[in-house]
Amino acid sequence: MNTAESVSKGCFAYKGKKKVAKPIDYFPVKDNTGKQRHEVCQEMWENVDTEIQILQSNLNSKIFEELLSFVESSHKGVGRKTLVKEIPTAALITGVNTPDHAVMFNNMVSLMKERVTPHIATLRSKDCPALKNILSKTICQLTQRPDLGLDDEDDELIQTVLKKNSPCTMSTLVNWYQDMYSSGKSSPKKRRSRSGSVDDIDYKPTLVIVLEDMESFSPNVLQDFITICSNYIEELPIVLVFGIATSVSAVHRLLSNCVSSLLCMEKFQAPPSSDYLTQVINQILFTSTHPFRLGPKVFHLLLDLFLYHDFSVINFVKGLQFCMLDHYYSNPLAHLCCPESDISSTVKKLHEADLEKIRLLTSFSKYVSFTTNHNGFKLSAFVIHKLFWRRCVDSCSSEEKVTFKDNKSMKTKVTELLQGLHDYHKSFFPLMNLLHVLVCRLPRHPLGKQLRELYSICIECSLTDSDGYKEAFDLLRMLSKEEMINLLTQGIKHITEYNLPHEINTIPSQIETYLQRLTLLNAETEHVPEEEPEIETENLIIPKKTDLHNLRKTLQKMEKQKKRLTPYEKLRNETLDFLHLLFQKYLKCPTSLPLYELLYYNSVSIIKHHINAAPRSAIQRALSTPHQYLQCKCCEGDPNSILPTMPDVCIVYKLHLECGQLINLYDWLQAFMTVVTSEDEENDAKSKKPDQILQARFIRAVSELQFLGFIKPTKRKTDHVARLTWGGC
Amino acid sequence: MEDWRVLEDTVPCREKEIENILALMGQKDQMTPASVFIYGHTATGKSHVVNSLLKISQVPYVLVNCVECYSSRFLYEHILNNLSHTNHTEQYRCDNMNDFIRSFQQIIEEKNYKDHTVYIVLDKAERLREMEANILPSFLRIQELTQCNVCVMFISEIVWDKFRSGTGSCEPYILQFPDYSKDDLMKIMSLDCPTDYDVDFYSNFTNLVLSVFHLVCRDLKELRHLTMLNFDKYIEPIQKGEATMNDSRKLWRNIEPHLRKALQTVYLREVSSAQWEKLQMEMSSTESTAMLSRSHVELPFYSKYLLIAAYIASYNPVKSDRRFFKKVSKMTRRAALMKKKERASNHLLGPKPFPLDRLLAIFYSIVEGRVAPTANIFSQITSLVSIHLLGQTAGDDQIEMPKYKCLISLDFIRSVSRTVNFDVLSHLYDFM
Repeated sequence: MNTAESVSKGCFAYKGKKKVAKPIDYFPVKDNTGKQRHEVCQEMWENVDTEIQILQSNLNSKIFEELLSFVESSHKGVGRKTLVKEIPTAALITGVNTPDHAVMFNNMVSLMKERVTPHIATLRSKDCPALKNILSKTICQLTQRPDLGLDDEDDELIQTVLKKNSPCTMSTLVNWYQDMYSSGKSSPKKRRSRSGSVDDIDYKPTLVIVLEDMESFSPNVLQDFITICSNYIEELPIVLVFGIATSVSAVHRLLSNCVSSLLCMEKFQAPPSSDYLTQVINQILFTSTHPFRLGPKVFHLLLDLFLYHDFSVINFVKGLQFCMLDHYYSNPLAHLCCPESDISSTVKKLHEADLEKIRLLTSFSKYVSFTTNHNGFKLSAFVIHKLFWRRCVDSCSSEEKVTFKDNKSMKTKVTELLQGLHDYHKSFFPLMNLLHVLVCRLPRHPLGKQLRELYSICIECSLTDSDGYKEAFDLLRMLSKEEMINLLTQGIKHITEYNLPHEINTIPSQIETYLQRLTLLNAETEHVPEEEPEIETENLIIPKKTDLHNLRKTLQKMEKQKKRLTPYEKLRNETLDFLHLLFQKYLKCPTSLPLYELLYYNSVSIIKHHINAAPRSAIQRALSTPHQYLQCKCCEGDPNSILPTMPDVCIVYKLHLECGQLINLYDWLQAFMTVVTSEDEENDAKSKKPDQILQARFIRAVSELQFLGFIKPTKRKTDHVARLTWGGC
Repeated sequence: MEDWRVLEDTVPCREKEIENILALMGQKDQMTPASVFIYGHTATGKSHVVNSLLKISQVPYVLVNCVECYSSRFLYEHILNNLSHTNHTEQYRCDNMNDFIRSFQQIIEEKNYKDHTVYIVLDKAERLREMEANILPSFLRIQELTQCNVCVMFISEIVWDKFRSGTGSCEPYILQFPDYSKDDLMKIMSLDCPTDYDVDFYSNFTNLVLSVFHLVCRDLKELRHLTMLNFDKYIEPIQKGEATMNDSRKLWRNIEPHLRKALQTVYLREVSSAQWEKLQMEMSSTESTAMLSRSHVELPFYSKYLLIAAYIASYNPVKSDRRFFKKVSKMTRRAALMKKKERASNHLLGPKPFPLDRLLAIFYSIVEGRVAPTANIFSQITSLVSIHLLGQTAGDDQIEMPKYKCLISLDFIRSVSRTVNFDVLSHLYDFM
């Protein structure tokens, strides 16, 4: 027997190099612009990200300021004469958008570390299932050196060290605190950290304990912890900060009377997250600085996710980031979605193939056919287009087709068009804001209360054709003079905040003149309008014999004519007409512009799959129509039919849909076997005695179904399983 | 031992109890009962009396708060370390009762406490019941075990009967601290009188406070807090010069509405004194907003509907679902009769658990428009659980048919449903 052979067989593991996926690897090899797109994308995202971060830190500044001063002053109060010392507690009501809270608390803690005290402990309920954990966590975090960074491994280390030296009780903390800040002498380090000039020498920094998600703490643990803290409040200047997602009543649900009376709470209400979202949208999406734009459907989807599901701005920003990544990843021309300054250089680098792709863009081909076919003839129908694209159209000569075929002139055209898109955005947002100021207070809000609602109307369809716009203008035509003046002044204020491009920088002054005329109208004496004899003649027009309907019509017509416009009304209409022309000119739907695909991301189905996934329906679809996933012909057919060629689990799933709450396993098996063996109908006797292999296949399929969560074993009836979903096929 | 007379001023109305304890303590070297059990309501001066007595009589003693010593090791070590007054570089290590007894005897030896009674005070003694079974009996027999002159004082709010369990424990000497009477309360609260005001004037004020609050709250701590909180308001007219100290009728008329308002927030401690002042100002202008905002929660759109669905599922019997959510519903005669037979209101019985599927079925039938069962919907249910608007009662695994309970009140759900224009009352069985 040759045993050497088997010995030589072995499996040797080599420790290979760890492969780190590079972003470049994700782009297909033949995709020559991938790298460039990736770079542009990163640059764009960095810009957006920094702006969001700045926003974030500014947003809560007011509430943080109050909170900090509360923490600072809580233990200095000499005027307080309570005999039983209460623990100063800040109840920070954060709102239900729990995903955002981590960032908020991080900001708060770092701000507090900077300004108030180096000793801060942040506790999360998941780390503190028992009193022991909550105490050790607190003490670990409080006693660490303020300048020492603490990550998880360090945390463990300190914990073990502490455990060896002294037990994790409050008395340890008291000893440590007295060592650090024994009266009279304070180390220079501590001196440095104290804020401003503190008159007393024995400066004692407060110990801040932040409970991030107060609701999730176990009540017993929390009560004990607070009781212990209050026992030591004389020695330790403890301040508690509760992060409460719902409302203050949560405190009283968690804590008994005797514990809550140990606290001296002060309520701080964080601004609602929708304010934050509005700021993010206004800052990121409603400016011309960032070329990347969300298409109407994607914008809607992200907004819906926010308003209907979680109120989480972080998730919104993540969604925005995903859209951006996908835009640059999936669109081979996306690197043209770059800052205005880089357009010409990027366009210069375009290859033949890229230009071909541009030619294939629907918006571009539409534009080409428009400029070549209707050149100068049927322009009246496209007067709006002409207004904006006058420059382009003017340049279009009879040899347009040649221009679009020639690469060089094509490049200049593309640059021109992209430049045009950027210019469009520059005038779009100031005017949108102006319109928003005019319409946001109208009764019933025909164009929405928020700027974002107006925006979504603007980018979805032609604004001036929309019903809301017409209704809004009808309402505007009924405004009183004071209201009109008020609105216009506000509008001017808003529009001048923008850095207006030179094309529209006369608009504020133009509105100003209208405004002046409006105010001057006051001084003008009311003209006594001369009586027109026309009315008399009109009267005579009424025929002698007429039916009621016609009579009413004529009367109404007369009524209209009779109504003379006052000078104010005339002026108002004039102003509104002027504004209407402006809006018509500048607030066009972006989808009507050539090359808009490069800047607008609108693949809503992809986003839906990734951000708003539906796992259960995906599983159900996979089980009922397996051929879609397996790419096989044999399983194709009516989704309700059960074919023997389908995978076992699909057959079992389809059979179980026909059952009620409880499923008899034996019946199920019989049905399964009938289906599987339906093709080879040899004899009925076979079905009486189950084949072992079939039985095994059945059992496996059933346990797979259990794993997927459709059934579970039950004790209510022997040999039965319970269904966990409702509904049949 | 006449020192304790001093206590009469600082600890009034507990003369009898002090006398009792002193009698038990006797002279320093005299033996005492092995254990004394002191009980009484919250804020009846138990800990205060014991602590100050021990402090004054200069005997070796250790105070232990049992809440803090969550494990028996800490309890032992705390007692030993405090008794021996070691600096915290060399600490006692002690894991079990046996070691504790030995170390304890050692300390008595070292410190020469032979002819003193050593006192161990175990505050919040009810916590001892949750620790290892041997701790309570051992502390009760500590004299016997250590052969030393030692006395354990248990302080608790629970009666001794609730401590009895197992065998081997001997009965302590039981001492009750009765509740303070109204006069007592007034006397004690008068001690808080600010230095620049007359004691009579202050006790007059406490009398007013008591007359309002005594019905709802007899907790001395809370009453003192309330008195402090409202005193500034009380003297406001005097500081403004609108009234004099003797003008008690005018002062009463001024303070009464404030006290009535404070009555609604007894025990809540939601506001510091400064905020309370602010709140009072606002409340005078907008009456109910303050109370409304206490429980107001802003929720995402679908969360609101999920919450409403959960409420309906919790408070409606399963059988009635068909009646409320069937497309064409007609109430049969039998159903009408059945309704009359129903005895107790579901709202009195409290929320019932319901499976996830029922929640979703109701959710889909009440929500407007088509909603895909996306991951976001499911994660919303979980986040509602995490902020305790829903409670999970069974099945920690999502796959294993989790069951939930709705934990919110009818008022809350009504205010939520009002924001989405949904009439929740017409969908509730109890209000049919």
